[in-house]
Amino acid sequence: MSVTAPQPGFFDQPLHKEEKIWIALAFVWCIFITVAMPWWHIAGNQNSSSEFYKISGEHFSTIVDDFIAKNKTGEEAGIPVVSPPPGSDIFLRGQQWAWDPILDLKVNETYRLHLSSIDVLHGMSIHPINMNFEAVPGWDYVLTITPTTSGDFRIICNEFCGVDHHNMIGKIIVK
Amino acid sequence: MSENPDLAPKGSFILIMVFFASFVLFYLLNWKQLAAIWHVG
Amino acid sequence: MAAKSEKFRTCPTTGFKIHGPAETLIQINAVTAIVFLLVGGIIGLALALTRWQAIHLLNDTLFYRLLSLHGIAMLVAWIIFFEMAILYFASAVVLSARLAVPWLGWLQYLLMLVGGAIVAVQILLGNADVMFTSYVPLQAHHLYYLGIILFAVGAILGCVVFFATVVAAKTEGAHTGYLPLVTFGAAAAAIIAIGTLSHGAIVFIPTWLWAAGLVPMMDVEVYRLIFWGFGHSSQQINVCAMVAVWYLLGTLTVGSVPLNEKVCRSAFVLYILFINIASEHHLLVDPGLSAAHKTWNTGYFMHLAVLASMIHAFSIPAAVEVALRKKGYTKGAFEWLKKAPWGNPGWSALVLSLIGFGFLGGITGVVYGTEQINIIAHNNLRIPGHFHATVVCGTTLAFMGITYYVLPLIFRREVAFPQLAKIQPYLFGIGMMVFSTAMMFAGGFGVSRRSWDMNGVESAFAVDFGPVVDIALAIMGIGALVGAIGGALYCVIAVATLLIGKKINA
Repeated sequence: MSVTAPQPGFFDQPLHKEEKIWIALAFVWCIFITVAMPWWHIAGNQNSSSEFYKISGEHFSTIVDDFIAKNKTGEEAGIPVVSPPPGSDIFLRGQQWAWDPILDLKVNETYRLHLSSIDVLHGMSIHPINMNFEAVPGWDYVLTITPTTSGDFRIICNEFCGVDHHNMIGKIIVK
Repeated sequence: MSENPDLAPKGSFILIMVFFASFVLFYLLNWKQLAAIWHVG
Repeated sequence: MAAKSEKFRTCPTTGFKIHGPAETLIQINAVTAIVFLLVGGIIGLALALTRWQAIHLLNDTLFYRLLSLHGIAMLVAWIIFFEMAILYFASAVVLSARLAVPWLGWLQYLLMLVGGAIVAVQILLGNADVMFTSYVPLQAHHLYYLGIILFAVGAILGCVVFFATVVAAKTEGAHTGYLPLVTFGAAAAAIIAIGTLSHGAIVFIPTWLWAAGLVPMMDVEVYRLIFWGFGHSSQQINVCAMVAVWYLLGTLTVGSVPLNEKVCRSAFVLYILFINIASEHHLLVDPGLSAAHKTWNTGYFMHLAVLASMIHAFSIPAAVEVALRKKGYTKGAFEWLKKAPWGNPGWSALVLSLIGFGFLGGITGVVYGTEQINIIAHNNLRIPGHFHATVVCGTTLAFMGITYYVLPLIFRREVAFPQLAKIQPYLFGIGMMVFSTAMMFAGGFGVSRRSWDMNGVESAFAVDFGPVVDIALAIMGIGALVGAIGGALYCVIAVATLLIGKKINA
């Protein structure tokens, strides 16, 4: 019983047939789900990025402001809209409690998105496709993205960042 | 340990197979859902 | 409380020799745990009735504040106080041995109580709106971190008392032979706990000093990595304790014998070896670690711990099936299940806990913790849906089940309101399973966790998740209501038993 000492020699007790089959199957499954991850890196199109750099909030902000100045094509609700060329480095800044700039991108084109925060942790959640990455102060996270659907998307912050966290919503446009 | 077939855990084996099938199904459905979002890496 | 006799009493039901000081410490830790469960549960209901946005019970500030307190009250206080009771039980009682160093056990209790109180007060004062995770650069009052450190030190002392008791039992001859499986499982939990709490010390001591203005802030990703070395491993303590309780409940409800002791023990060893370092599945969409690193950590380490759980997932049902078949229920594949003691709350808690933890919690955890799938799971409601399935439907329900034996065997009182006790695990288990499932369903649409208003109506770019999500959150709220009734019943039954339950004389 589970509350009494097992008999000496318990180590040599053979397994039930059902238990042997199950453990073998479970083990194979665990190998499969492990191998699936590197496999998707080769065969799939959605992976986490291994490109990131340390950067200070001030430095990142300067780069973002430059990027906005060079690419601004409009404004919505006080946030600049930028239309960067396909293939270029684009930037998204998170701060309490807004995302900027509003990126205006072309469908099926690839961009290098630099994601960071200049104060606390924020979470970039692109709605409604439900794509989620962390915006970390002190880190420039470079995501090579290709929007495959067009429309009017939202960036919902999903990492708790203070009292107005739920109102921290930005926008991405894909045409 | 007796190999009495009346005492073999047949029911639990069926239950764990149901569990395994649910696992595989849910796992594959999620990869499918992932494949539908934008390309990222 | 009058000084308990240093003598032993022999339990008439089990034959265990129970040491007085051990019994007192089990009782006080268990009762304290249930008090925290009650407080945390009332808060939990209020939170659920806020995320059910048609009701939106709490305002935003109170929501975020109580969400922080809910995490601490449940994940830290309720569970770890109860686990201290389990550790003392699995060592002193199961081995019929004296509790070594009882004064250290009392220090354990005092540190955890004082630490927990400090944390709760700081949160309620509004000095710690940082969530259970307290990610830097969010900063709480330095006393908050000190409270957590004191709590963690207390818990480590509890583990020390556990090991000292086991060692004394062997050297003094109170127990001979191999450790029983329940004690082995508890030892696995305690070993993981030492590693976990050390992670906690490594991350919280510098953060405490930073909040006190004495040292600079650590790198945000370093904090997250070490925090989750504390955070996820602490869940594995819960898993080990829960699995040990499952084996115990199998024995107590139907007299089951482990199918194969070697297999069960090896699975516990897998937990120990692989879980302490498997924290990177919390950082899968973070910068700072390469995909290769995260895949290795998640695949090699975490999945071997998953294998252990899958082994137990068959081993326990199979053991109870064999035990019931031995009673004569051998017709077809499932007569044993039909004839099982469904009116015994220890049994129903065991079964529902297995289903909740395995199907709802385990499967979703492995899937959402897959490196790439995490991209569509991270920080939306799928995550709290997953961990409510594991910690609430799984661990908490199992602990509720064992309480129905602790009350008569340790507190020596008959369970009050036995008719209500019969249905309590069903209400709690089914309610919280509906809650978790609905939550994960909403999360699949991208609804954010830790958010007072998923639509952000005050934002210039507000969204509308639509009626399907609204209905899902309403179902979640109803699940929470049913679960809360089940949880409240548990607390009422436990307290009533202690106060007015019929005493069982030895």
